[in-house]
Amino acid sequence: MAETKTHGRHQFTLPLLAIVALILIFIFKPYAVIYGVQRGSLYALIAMPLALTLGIVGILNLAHGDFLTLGAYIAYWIFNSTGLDPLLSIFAVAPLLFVVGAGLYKITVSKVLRAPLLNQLLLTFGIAMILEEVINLIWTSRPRNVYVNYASASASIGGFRFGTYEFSYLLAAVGVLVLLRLFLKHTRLGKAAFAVGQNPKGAKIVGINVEMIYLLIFSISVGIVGIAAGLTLPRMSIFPLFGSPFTLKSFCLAAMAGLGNLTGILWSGLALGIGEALVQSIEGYSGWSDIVFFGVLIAVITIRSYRGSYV
Amino acid sequence: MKNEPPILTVEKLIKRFGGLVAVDNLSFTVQQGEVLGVIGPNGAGKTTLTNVVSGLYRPSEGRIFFQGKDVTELDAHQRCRLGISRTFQLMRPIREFTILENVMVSALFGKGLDLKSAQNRAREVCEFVGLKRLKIPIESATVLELKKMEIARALASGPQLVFLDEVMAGLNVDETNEMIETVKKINASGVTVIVIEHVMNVIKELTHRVIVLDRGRIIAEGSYEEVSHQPEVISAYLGEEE
Amino acid sequence: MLIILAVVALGFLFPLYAGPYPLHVMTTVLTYMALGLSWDMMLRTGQLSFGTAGFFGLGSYAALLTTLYLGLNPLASIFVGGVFAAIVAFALGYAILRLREIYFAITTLALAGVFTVVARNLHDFTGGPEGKILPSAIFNGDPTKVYWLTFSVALGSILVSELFQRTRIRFAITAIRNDEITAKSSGIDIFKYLLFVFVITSAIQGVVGGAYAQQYGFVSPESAFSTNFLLLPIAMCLAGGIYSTLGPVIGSVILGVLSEYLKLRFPYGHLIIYGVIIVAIVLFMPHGILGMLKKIAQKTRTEVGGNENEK
Repeated sequence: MAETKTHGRHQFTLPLLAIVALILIFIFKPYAVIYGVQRGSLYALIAMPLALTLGIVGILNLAHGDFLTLGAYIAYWIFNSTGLDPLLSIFAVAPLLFVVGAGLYKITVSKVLRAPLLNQLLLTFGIAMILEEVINLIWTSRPRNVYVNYASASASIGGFRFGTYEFSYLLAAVGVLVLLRLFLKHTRLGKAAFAVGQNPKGAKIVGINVEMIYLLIFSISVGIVGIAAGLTLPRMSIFPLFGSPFTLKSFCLAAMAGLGNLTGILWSGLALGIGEALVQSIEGYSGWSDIVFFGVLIAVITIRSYRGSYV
Repeated sequence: MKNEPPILTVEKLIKRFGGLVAVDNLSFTVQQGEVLGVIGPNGAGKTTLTNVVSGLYRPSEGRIFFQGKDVTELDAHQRCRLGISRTFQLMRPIREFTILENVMVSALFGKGLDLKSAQNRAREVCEFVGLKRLKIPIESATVLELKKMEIARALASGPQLVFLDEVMAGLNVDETNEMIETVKKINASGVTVIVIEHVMNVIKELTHRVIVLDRGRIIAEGSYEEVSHQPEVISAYLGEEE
Repeated sequence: MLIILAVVALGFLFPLYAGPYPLHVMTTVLTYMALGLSWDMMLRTGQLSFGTAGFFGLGSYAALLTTLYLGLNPLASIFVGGVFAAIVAFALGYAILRLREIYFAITTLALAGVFTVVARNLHDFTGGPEGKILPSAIFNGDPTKVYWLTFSVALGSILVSELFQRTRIRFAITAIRNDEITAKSSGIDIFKYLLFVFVITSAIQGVVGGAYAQQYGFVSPESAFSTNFLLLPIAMCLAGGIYSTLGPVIGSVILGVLSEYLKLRFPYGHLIIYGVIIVAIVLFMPHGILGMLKKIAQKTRTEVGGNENEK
């Protein structure tokens, strides 16, 4: 999971252009920036664990977004039966999802690690389907929300009001990013995981328990989704297909950032979020915002392949 | 022979991989009907040269002419159809196919035959290289059979120029002798052959002329007897304990 | 080959004895069969496409809208659906057929997403999220005629699939799937064949989509681009066995009938069982029913052979 080094020239021009663009957008469409940052942070928060699994275990988990749904419903259920605040329930939901992830890995994912790509994708596709339908069966397709008063907190700049709760996504995304980087760079276990991602065979030779690392990384990834689940519940309605769009968005960000570049995911998330918010802010064209995402996804993958190097 | 235009001309060929220069400013020609030997220690750039000339890699710089035509920008399949073919040092059979079907692929697409004629052609070529068990799956083929299959596939497309990339490696003495005869037969049928080989006896036995590569450059060129006594060649090989 | 002929013969005899409900079930099975075959044909080149539903939807819209706006004969409009899907596939193929593996798979999925967003947002033309309805369905909804229509489409797909298996195309695409380097060194124009197969299979998907839309006289983003048209055919191919004509045929009949039964038996949650089937197949029967039968046949043959030797 090495940070990819960009070439000298790009190193300065790209961020500079980004900052200029950001300032311009902020002047003309301040809310697009605010909403975009909020939404983009959430994308990044959910995408980082997907990229972690993809980078280290080498599995694209198509059920990724559905774990978000599962986590949110568990938090909802906890809230309804005990009144526990969704934010506090993260401390239960995340470990619970960690265990679910570990179980699923043991029973299913570990069996297809060497199988053809098709089998890996279909397995997680199948799991996604089961999760969605089980949730549909238990909680029906009726949207659910919880109400907590802090979630509707808002602030205003120059007569323009916006919700402040969603900035918690940014905090969480940055927090998870910092912790993951600390883990991968400065702990024994993290360094071992890093080595496995770089070269699983070599890692095995030097005595790293690759199976255990895979299990751990997969479970951690699902666990992190639990954090996002608890965070979104106070502000969003949940339904059985609530999380599934996040799977592709997460893959999109991972592809944009380049494999192994966790910090890049945050930047990509912000860029995508702002892009979508911009389109949404155009009168009469709000429905087209998904095009931004699909377009970016296709463009990123194709351009990367033309350069001769896959993500 | 010397007065005819060369079948292959390589001009100032350079191939870089990132910072590594695998082929460094190579220029040489190959005459129609010749058997050219390319030798050199491991990592000298022999296989990279094969890959660049057969079209798997684009050169970083330089040009390649085949029968007077500039083929530098052509894809591998186009060069195959023009008449450049090659074997793979690490054999690459199509695992789902039988030996015969593997050879048929290049008769079908390299030579552009229809199914029936491709099958006939594949049978002929297999017989030519001494393959007997044609309908066996790849898993049950021996190393010798796979090597022969590589050659048969390279021939089935009807090439004018063939690269044989270490087809003798890993064979015993009898097998090697059989293979040498096969290569002589190929050459006698009018096909120009470039032999890339580690086994010096083979080079001595087969080639009209030898190019010695070291770190991507030509360090010696001439008949086997000429180059084998040059100090650069000896030291390049001594560094590699051969 | 005999088995395929037997299946085709059964298909011919079926409407003579079956009532409207079994006919309807079989029509659905045949729809999925054609989609599954087309998906499998692409897979035979080594390229995993997730664009099945996308081109199906394009065909649906093209067929329905040409009938609606231009008054085109429904049967001709189905053909137009195929042509339209083929043209789009041809244009897109240039950009995306250089991609491999996961990147091709995700890009085709994203393209299907783009089609959906476009269909949903071109309100005046496509009817937006509500879609468009024709005054009457094809053949006025006569189930026998609809059956024959779908049967012909499926039969056509079987023929194309067999053509792929029996001509030089098989040599080209099998070689490409196994080893692209060997393939191009043997003179195969990889890109040309990928483009050819992509266009042909997309055309089939377009025709199937057109037939489906005309069958109901209705098209909407949710129905035309439904992930069912992506997932179920894949599951069916996988269940039957990939890289063959027979596999998708067997798989679609078995899973199609089974899912209909499950739908009756468990109106809610039958998709869970479907998901479980996919997961189970990936884990325990990765070569499908056909692969399993072959294995059993091989075993009994060697056993019989052994006995003969003893005599």
